[in-house]
Amino acid sequence: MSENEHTMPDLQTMVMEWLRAAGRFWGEPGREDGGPADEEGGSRQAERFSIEAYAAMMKTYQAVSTAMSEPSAMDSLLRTTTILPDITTTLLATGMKGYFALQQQIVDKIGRIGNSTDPYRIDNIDQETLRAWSEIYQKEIRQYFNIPQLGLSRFYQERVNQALDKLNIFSTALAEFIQLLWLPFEKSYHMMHEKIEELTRSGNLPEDTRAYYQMWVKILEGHFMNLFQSPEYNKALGETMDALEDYLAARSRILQDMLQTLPVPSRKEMEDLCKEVYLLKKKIRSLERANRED
Amino acid sequence: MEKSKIPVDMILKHLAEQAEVHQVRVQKATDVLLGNLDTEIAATPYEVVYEEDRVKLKHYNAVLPSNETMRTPLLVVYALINRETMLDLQPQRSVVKNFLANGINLYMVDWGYPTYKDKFLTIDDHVNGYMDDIVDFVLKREKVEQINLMGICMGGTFSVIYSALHPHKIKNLVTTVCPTNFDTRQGLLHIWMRWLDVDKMIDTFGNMPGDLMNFGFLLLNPARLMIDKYIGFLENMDNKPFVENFVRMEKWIFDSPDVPGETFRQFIKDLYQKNLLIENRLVIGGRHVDLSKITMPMLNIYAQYDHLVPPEAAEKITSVVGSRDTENVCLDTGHIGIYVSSKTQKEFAPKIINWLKAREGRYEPAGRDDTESAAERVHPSAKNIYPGVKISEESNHAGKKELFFDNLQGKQSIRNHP
Repeated sequence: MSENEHTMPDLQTMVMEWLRAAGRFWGEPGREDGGPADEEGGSRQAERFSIEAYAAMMKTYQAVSTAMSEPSAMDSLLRTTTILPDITTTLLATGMKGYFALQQQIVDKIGRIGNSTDPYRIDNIDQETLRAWSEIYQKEIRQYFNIPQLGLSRFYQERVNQALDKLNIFSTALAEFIQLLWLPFEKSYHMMHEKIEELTRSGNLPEDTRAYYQMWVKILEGHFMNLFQSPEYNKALGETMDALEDYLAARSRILQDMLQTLPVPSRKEMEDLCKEVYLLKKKIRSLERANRED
Repeated sequence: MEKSKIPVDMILKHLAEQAEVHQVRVQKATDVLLGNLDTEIAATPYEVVYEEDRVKLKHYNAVLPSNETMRTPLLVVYALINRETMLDLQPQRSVVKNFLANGINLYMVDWGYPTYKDKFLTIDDHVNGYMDDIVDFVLKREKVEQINLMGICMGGTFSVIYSALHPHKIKNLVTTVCPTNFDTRQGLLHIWMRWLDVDKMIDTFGNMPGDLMNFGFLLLNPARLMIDKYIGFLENMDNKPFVENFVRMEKWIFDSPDVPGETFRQFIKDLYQKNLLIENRLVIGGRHVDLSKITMPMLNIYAQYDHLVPPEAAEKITSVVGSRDTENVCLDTGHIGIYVSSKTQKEFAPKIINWLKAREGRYEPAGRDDTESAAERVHPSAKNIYPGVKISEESNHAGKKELFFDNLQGKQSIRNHP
């Protein structure tokens, strides 16, 4: 065991040795270059400054390397490498959890395919499937965009995060809305199957292929009409519009930040100007009218 | 041998036949689509006689001698949604041409394309601003004391408001597919507008985007408007006149100016959501819109299968205005079919022309300098000589809904079926 320790140095010792060697390697040129540079006259002041800066940087690096080669620092560093997979696993687990939940919903849904379709009924909309991703985002992911930002640029970072958050919410809402719009197609498909089955049994299958299209489009239309009057559709439409408006407002705030750096008026400034012009015109119109009537 | 329940042989035979037909059609369609197509809309000559900001006033060139032209000019006010070009969509089905051929001295408001600076414009600015300025201009130009006013859809609502606020300037009022009663569950638009957070929408967009509205209209019936319509096009794309008219309609449908934000906000909140107009509680520009002030003759035309302005939204107005000479006419068509379908071309424009002529009193050349006071003019129908006759009874069936599609118009209507 002790032999092994000598012949196969552990990871901690190896890293410590490497850091010491690196510190010495980068430390030497700094000392060698720094001497002659200090002896030069004022004409080489700029060069000296850069050499001094380089030497200072090397000293800092050497200090950090030396400190890092201490056993306690190494322990901390190695602990980090130990917990890094845990962090990665947690992050991945969150994403995978959501993905699997969504998969499960889809599998459940596929399992239901083939069940009898109620004609022109949209009231058994599968809300859980529609909501799955939305809930995962709200519970597991959204908070990352709300981490408080620090420093001089915190407001700008916050606005970018907000826009990303709103974009995600809009994309989710839009996906749900589109899925709702897909429902009538799905239901019409099943209903067409049932209808064809029925016509086959009774021996009344149309010979003209256009008759099938007419049948399908009429069924589809009926399903759409029912969907559009359902509370679920109105709710989804409202949420999608809300999410779109929130995203556009958040995006606009970022654009305003960007416009501040350009020599062009911002939307707010233009809006103020437009309002002033509008009020002035209104005033002039009313004065002109009063003048005409006099 | 017993006949098969699934006539596979016949189905395949039809498929083969259709494949041949399609091949020939595609060949012909290529010639049609690559050839010279006349898809111009709004081709009837006119002159822009007045402009204010984005708004223009068109005056159509008379086709009849002045002694055969009606003295009282007709001002047509279209909606802020889509464009007035719909009245002159194709030469054979042009309400404008029909009016001119029958001696109407025709003016039409072109609302133009609102830009971001127009977002503050309210209904007051449109009605008491632009419309009133235009009416004053026409009165002065034609040297008359009153004009005939015809409003279309939202423009009809504006015309009702205008007539209540400025009744002395209007001789006859014609409203067509004009929403005035918003307390109805007929039509998806009325249902959807209830929940709409219009404040948030306008605060975000500034003006109401025309494309967004168009998308909403398409969603009213995607099966017909986004699928069946284009299947119909594919089936007829070897037919040149069909293709030309189809493209004309497409040009019109997707030519959608934005609606000024504050106007849209007010229209949705005060009308769709609070229904203030028909309840006689609407205030515009600080003035009460008192419907009892509408004492001039009023003709109200609407469509039985209109999914945007269903009969229930349009027909009530004549019972609450102050006029004793009112008439409701319900045509057997949809919201757009009323202006463009070949069938209603024979009913719609002639009805308006005859109704106006019956109330003109006498015919004098337009632009004469011998103005007479409105009070001196004879109203042949001071009493209700044409009581609310409906030329087409409204369907009272209930139950499953079936949709009917007006030829080529692209916007369909809903009919109740037993």
